[in-house]
Amino acid sequence: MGRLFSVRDLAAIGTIVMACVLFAFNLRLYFQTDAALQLYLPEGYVRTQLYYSLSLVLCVSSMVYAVYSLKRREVLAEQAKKLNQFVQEVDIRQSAIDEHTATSISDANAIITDVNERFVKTFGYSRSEIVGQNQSILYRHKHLDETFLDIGRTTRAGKVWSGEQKLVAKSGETIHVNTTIIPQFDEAGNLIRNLNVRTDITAQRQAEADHFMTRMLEELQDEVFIYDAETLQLTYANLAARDRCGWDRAEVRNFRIVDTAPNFDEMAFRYHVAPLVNGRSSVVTIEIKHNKGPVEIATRLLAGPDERPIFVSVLRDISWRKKIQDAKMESVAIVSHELRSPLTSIKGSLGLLQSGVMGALTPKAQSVVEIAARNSDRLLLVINDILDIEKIDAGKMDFTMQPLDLMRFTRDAIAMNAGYGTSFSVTYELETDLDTAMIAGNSDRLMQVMTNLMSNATKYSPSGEVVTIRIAPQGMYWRVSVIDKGPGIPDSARDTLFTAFAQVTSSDGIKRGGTGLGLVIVKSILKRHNARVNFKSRMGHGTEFYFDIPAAIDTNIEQPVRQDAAG
Amino acid sequence: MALKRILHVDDDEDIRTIVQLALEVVGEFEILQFGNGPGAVAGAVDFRPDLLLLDVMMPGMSGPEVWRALTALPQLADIPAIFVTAKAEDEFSRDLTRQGAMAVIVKPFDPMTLASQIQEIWDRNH
Repeated sequence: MGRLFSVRDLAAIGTIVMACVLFAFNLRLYFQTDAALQLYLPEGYVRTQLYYSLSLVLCVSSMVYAVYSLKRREVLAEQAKKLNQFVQEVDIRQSAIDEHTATSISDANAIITDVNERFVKTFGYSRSEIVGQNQSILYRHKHLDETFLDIGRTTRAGKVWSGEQKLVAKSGETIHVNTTIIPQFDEAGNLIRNLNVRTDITAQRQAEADHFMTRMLEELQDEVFIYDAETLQLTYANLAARDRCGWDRAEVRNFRIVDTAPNFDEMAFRYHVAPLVNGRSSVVTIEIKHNKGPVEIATRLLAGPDERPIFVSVLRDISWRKKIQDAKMESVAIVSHELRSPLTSIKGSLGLLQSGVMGALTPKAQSVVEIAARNSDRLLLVINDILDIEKIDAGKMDFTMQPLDLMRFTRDAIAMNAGYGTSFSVTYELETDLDTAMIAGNSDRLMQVMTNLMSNATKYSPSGEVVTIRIAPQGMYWRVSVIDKGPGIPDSARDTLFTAFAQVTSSDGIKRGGTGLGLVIVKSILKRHNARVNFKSRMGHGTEFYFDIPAAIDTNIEQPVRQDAAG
Repeated sequence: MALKRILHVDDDEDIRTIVQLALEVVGEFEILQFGNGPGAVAGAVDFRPDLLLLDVMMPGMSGPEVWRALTALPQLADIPAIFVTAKAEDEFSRDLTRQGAMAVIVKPFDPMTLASQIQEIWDRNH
């Protein structure tokens, strides 16, 4: 109001008042009945003055009104402009809020009654899907007892709740948000609704996690290389890797993985990682001699940020492991030697006694000598198996790979084990539709596998039965199965069957001979061939032990795989 | 050339007994045995062996050292050797073969077939 009646306004009003006073004075004169007074004034003077003062009043009033109207219009225009600006500002702020925060309104029972566009985008629910749902839909169960209930208590108490939350989107993805929940009450003090304002900080949390992971990678003692799977161009090398190679962080991208070692054989490397490229393995490892000692390199194939395939190789210094392995191997070799020498005398003596060279034995003496001979054989098998396991573990066993036809190899295995089968009245039968089945393998080691599986099948087969050896394609692999019609293996033995000295108690109660190490050796040998061993069994019907071994990629290449390569 | 005389060196007396029975009784070889390398070096020339059968790991002189010492003697310069060892590692056997050993027999051996096994190796190399 003060702005409407400025000094100028008051001056105008004052002028009008003065004109009105003048007019009233002249009006009084006009109606003056005092003849004496009229005698002293010229005729018509009063009337003229009256008209004049009236005109003045009207004129001044009109002017003042015009000035006031103009002034008033300016003020209104100014107010309208300001109001418009204010509305625009509110719109901008609303847009900013909508763009930045996922906002929802829920009633006193936590039922969602409205959401904004950002909420829809953030949580993946359409408006119609989410309106009418309880807020709890946004929470994983484990949070229900904590945050969700705390919010209820806080807002009902009339307080604003603020905090960080882990909510869940429609897709199941975790959404990290900073949340402020403002309660609103009616005149009676009852909670009528909550305004839920949430800022999505998932990307920030992810970036923090990524940053943390990068820092961890940098600080790892193991060397880490990330590089393009096709060009082998490096994209990242951690601090340990850069230190060894003598590179700055900025120049890593100028190098390829082949530049990380002086005698890096790119062809051998591509052969080594072929199982990753063709999907046969998720990781390949190799042990090599490095300029800083023996290292184990584990390589994986992953999809890069731009979906291009990348290799991630981790180099681990295994010099200590090698030293321990060598020491262990040495101990086992010594123990083996120390056991073999007396065993030579025992077995030799028993053999000479059994043969009759030393004179005829009584039947009772003969049976006792046989027991001793049988158990000295068993002891020798255990010693040999332990030595084999240690040799495989220590990388001392020869695993030179060569092209091998599984068909011919299996026929040889059957011929070689036929004598053993005969001693149990068991025969072997090859079942296959294939003519050839090429692999890259070590025939001596695979013969050990077949001999182990076939002798197990033989021992558990009923007398007069057939053990079937089946070879069939299995995707990119050949499946070699050894099938018996024995008592079967209980499923409870599945977890321990391939561990050392695990022997299953047969359902028929008959104990079969064996060292309890055969399947451990089988598994270890097959692992070096990138092959997997498993079994299927039905109690009372028999067991099928099988292994899936990769079909040869190129049988024309006699590709030697390093003795120390691991699958 | 027929194989008749075998000089056997092993520090384990029991094994010497087994080998003697295996080669003299089961096989029909003439055998002279020693429990250590120096004894063998001293007594080998008079025996005029056709073949050495040497244990590898012995205290004092090892089997390969005994072989080298004997082949240093002019009378035994070309004497072949078969080694007997309890060390079953492939690499170890390959090393001995590379050094010129005629064969490597791994303990424990079968006394009933030892003589025929040695004869077979001998025939294969002559």
